[in-house]
Amino acid sequence: MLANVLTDLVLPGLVAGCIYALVATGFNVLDISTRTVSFAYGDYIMWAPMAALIAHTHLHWPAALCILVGVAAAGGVALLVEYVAVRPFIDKPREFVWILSTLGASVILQRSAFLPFNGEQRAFPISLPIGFFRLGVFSFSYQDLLVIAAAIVVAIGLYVVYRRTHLGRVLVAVGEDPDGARALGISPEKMSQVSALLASVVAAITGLVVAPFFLVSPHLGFQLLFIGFAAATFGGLGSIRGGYIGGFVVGFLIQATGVYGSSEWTYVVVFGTLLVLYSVRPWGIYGVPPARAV
Amino acid sequence: MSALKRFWGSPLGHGSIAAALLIAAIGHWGTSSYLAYMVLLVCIYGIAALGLNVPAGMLGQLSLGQGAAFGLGAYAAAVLAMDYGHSVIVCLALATLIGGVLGVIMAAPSARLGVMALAIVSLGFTLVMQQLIILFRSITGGADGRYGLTAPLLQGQVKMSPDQLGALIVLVLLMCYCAHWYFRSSTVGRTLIAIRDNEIGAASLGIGTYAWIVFAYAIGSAIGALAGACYAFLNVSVNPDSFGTPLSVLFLLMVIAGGAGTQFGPLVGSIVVGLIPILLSAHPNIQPFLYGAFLILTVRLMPRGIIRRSAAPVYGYFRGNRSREAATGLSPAVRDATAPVLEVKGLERHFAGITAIKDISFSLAKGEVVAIIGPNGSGKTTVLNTICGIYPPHGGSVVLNGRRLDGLSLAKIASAGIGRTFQVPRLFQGLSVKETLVLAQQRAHGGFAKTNVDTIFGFLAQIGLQEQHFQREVRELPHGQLRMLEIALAALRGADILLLDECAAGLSAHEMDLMLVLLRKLAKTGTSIIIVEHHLDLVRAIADKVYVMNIGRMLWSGKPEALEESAEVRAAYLGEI
Repeated sequence: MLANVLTDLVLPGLVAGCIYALVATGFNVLDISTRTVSFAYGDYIMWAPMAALIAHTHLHWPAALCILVGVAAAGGVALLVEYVAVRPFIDKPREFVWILSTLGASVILQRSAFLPFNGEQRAFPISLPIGFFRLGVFSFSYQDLLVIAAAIVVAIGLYVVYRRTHLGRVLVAVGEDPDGARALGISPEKMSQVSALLASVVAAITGLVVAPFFLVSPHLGFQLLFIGFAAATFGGLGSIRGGYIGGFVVGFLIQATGVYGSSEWTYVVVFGTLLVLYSVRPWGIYGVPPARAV
Repeated sequence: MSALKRFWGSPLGHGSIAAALLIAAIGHWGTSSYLAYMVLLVCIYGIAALGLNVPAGMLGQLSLGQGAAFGLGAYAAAVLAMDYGHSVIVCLALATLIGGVLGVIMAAPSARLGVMALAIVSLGFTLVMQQLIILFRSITGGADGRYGLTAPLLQGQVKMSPDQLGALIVLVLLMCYCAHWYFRSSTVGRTLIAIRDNEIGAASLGIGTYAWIVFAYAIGSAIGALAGACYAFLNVSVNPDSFGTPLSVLFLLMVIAGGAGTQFGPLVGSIVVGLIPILLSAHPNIQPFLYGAFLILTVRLMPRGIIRRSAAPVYGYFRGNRSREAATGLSPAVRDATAPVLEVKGLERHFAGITAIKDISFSLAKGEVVAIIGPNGSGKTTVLNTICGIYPPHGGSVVLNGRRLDGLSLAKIASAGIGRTFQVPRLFQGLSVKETLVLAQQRAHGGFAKTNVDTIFGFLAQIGLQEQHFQREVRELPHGQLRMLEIALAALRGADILLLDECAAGLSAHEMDLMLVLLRKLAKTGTSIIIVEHHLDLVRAIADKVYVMNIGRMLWSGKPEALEESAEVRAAYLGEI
């Protein structure tokens, strides 16, 4: 019984948790520096495997090069969206019009992804060989391990960036107080661009390691977007640590829903839990309520 | 002539003419023609957008849940008509009701959390609604939906003809248009705009936020569900694919592109946005690109939409220059120094462990004017903020007319009779001057100073806001007039106590003189005033008593004339040793 719980719930829950933690982390990276969140973020994630798949299928490039193409595509898309749909509103994040402009960008990015394969779902060919790593009752597929490793690498990488580098401190400072940062000669516009690029790296890693689990389709991004956002909200938007905890909560919830109920109820369960959390602890586990300036 | 003009100016007037033309045109094209179908579809979008304009336009909430309301309404109508045999009218009414309940469920848990949380929650509702529709197959038909939806208009009649349905949809639109018009120009409409434009400013007029957000969502969802029910009857079927996230975004785009919170905007927006898919129906691949680009361009190039005037006319209630009787029926205020109106005792407030103010005690008699002065950062504004409830105090008490106020919210304290102005005026950009004044008058709490109407309108005329300027939107006013208007609002509410935070900052000498005259008149009719000020001339000219603060404590108090004689005041404030 216990072994069943471990193999059916804990292990896949852990992997799903890593996936949603990665998605949530992308949102948090954007939020930390700009106090905005791109609703096109799901499409950054989708475009990385999509571009790699195009390079693989249409151009027959080697896998390593395809992966580079994927990373570059996510970066390019992120910079474009930042320039067109986020930067014009960087001085007034509390007016929330960027929700609409980034939604518009998301529509365009998603529809452009219909062009290469007519919107058909395709399997992602670039993955680790099928095989298992056994540890007692647990058995991880190599791809599972890759996802877990990616989550760990991203966590450590961002910890180093934000806590140990000058750039990281600037990225935090500019989100805390854009005007103050500007007075110190830091350009919030530039930092918005840098944070978009940083988020796109997280997005590319996410997209490339999860693509073998999901099929590659224009809808891949939107599937991850809402659940990932819910995960970020669980932990408290703007907290990397919170994003990881939120990701695991959501991951286990989804796995439990699939195992003990039906995966058709996923949205209902995740969303219901989010509503309960909003009523009990509005700002998430690690979030802080915004201060009111008078 | 004027009767004709008035008829044309009322929504029922021009609306019914437009509706009659529309019904005639649909009859001419033939109700089952493609063109008529498209026109009716735009009408239905118009209904949903008018509804969404209440939470999204007037209240500024980015609701992404109108698609959920629309879908719920459509399914409710289909199930009620097909499984329970209800008539069309009953279906529409019940769908509206169910939509309202959905709005309450959507907003109630998260209305305190701000725009972002509500946007996410409403988006979640749209996703979940679609999933639930598919899950409850036995009722909803699952992913296939339900077909062959017809019903009689009223119970006992034969099934409704397409012509009847077309006319019904146009009439529902007309009804919603009129209701929306009068809603916007009612007290409720003004209140919602005030909350949207400045939540704290609205609270200092005694307007709370939470209940209004839930209310606005309920109205918006109810009308959205009504539109959805019409949609179900128009299509004779319901299908889960038609109610997804894109529809929610589409409705929001209609409201924003048309002009959020305006009287015509949502209709204009639903025509413009609704026409895009119709004009491009031959090129289904280009459509989403254009739609995405339209979203980005709208918020970048015309964030206020096509219709930009968001102020609305005021009907009925307005106690302007004309009604003098209120002013003449004045009981002359008696200054009664023995019974304090406001008593502040041992007030204390910390921020993250740092004591901002401590041991602040003073009392205020009816009609007394006190000034709080002190160096920057000495805690003057914090005292005001703690008294009026922006920051709940960590110790001490605030008693107004024998009633304890500490711990209550800003809006509750404002309703109890404390008016407030801010260092930066907190007014409502999207309202006209007249609407703003009416809003304050309607929030009057009936304190001593309700008799000041005449004084205040005279004052407004002196600063250049005569009655012919009352149609101007507040966003057009220069700084000086904004400050004066804010004071006028607080006074019009008839507050017992006015808290004025650096009310002279940025005023010209002439404007300052006018303000001084007004404040003296207010004090004479019984309003007690606390001013926080750096202009010592102003303080000397008006204050009965001066309190000097330094590093969060009361340092000195006394008559303004004695101010410079105090050595400690000089040391702390005037910089002499």
